[in-house]
Amino acid sequence: MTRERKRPAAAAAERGGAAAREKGRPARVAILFFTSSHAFRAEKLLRVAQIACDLVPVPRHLSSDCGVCLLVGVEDRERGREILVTGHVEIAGIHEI
Amino acid sequence: MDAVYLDNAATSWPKAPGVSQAVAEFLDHVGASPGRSGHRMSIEAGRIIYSAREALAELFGAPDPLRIIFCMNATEALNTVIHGLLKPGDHVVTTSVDHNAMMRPLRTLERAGVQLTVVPCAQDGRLDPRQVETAMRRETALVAMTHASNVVGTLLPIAEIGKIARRRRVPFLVDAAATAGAVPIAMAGDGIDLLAFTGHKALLGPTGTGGLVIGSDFDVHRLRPLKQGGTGSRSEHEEQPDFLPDMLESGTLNSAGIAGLERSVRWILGFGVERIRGTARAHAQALIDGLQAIEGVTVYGTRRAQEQTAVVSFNIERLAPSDVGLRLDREHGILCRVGLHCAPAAHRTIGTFPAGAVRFAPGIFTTEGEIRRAVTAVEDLAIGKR
Repeated sequence: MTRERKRPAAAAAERGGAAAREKGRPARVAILFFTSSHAFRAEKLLRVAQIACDLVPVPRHLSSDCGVCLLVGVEDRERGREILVTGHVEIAGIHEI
Repeated sequence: MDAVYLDNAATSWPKAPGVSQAVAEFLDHVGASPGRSGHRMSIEAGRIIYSAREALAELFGAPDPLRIIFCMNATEALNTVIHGLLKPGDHVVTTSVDHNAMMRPLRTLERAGVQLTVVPCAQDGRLDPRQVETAMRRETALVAMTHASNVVGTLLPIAEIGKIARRRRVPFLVDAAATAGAVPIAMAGDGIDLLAFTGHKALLGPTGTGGLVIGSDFDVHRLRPLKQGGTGSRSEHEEQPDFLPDMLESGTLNSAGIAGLERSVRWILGFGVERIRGTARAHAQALIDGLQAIEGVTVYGTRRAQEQTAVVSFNIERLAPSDVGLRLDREHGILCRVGLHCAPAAHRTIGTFPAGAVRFAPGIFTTEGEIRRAVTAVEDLAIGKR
């Protein structure tokens, strides 16, 4: 992914997170992967760790890819990331939505 | 007359409990393409495929389920490695009991400048690991061999070969078509870098399933993918992804088949490969003992069940294998495979080329009574020729 593509996506993600907070919805982060196989592994690892998560299509503003991403609560962002890195899941990006 | 199916080395039958239901459930209720769309049906399909990878990783002692690549069968997996890795000038070592799934891609590359050494096995199929080491050269880029002869069942000493290959830093490719699910296999323990397996033999799953297990130490970027195409990932790029499993899994997988394979591998994990191996040994020994006792019957191989899989090949004096096969089927309901079993070099090794032999291959669901019926049938044919 080029830098030029990443910037607007990140900016949009920031806007999304701000909007969620303003509306009082619990803010979540979208964890993106290079392949859906990693998403399925990630889902299993987080479920084992009892972190609530949801596999959904990748929001268009984050990636033009046709795969899925994993949504977790903002409060689980760091713990979730650590579990995934330890579990050899390759993370393509984490964006607040 | 009920048929006795002794052709499990060609494909197993019956399949593990629940396999046909798993395939039907997938087609009727899951249906969608895994890893392509983000809706619930696609996600469920993806979960099943991932669960199959996990089950296979557990079975083969592979630490990373994402280094399990699904292919159509062991043949495609072997071709993926052989054509993906070797280049003109490279040298390969294989054995004289290897199947055409190994031999043909190697012979094809031989014409393109790859050097090939076929290490001769003994007449009973046994391989001396020292001969493999002697055959290795500075330019040896791959040691590739079957785990067991598909003709006489003789197990090859893969753990010892694995050690030699590792010491020489040469990748070790094992064709486990004849053993996956029937004989314990440990990727790291046996020193295997690349393991080709099929789903429809001793793994008791549907045809059209199989794959390649890639060891932790093998640099996958050494493989040029045989196929390029859609993977559901990096769709904005027109170049093939360079990560697993997508790099080597272009196009929609045989998802329904893999759902069946997932069920069968889980059944095997629950039942236990050691227990399956024990049954296979008992079947093999009963066949060897029974057939050897018949006058005019020659049994090939080690004739020692602990040194082989449940595959027993034989001939009846003055009877062509094709006639034996036909009469076993028509007169006794015994179904087996006769001929060269896609392994001409193996038949040259045991001395049965070009006529071939009759092969009995019982499976985990074969009963002792069926083994006795098969031996009695052979006895009947042999007596008629005296």
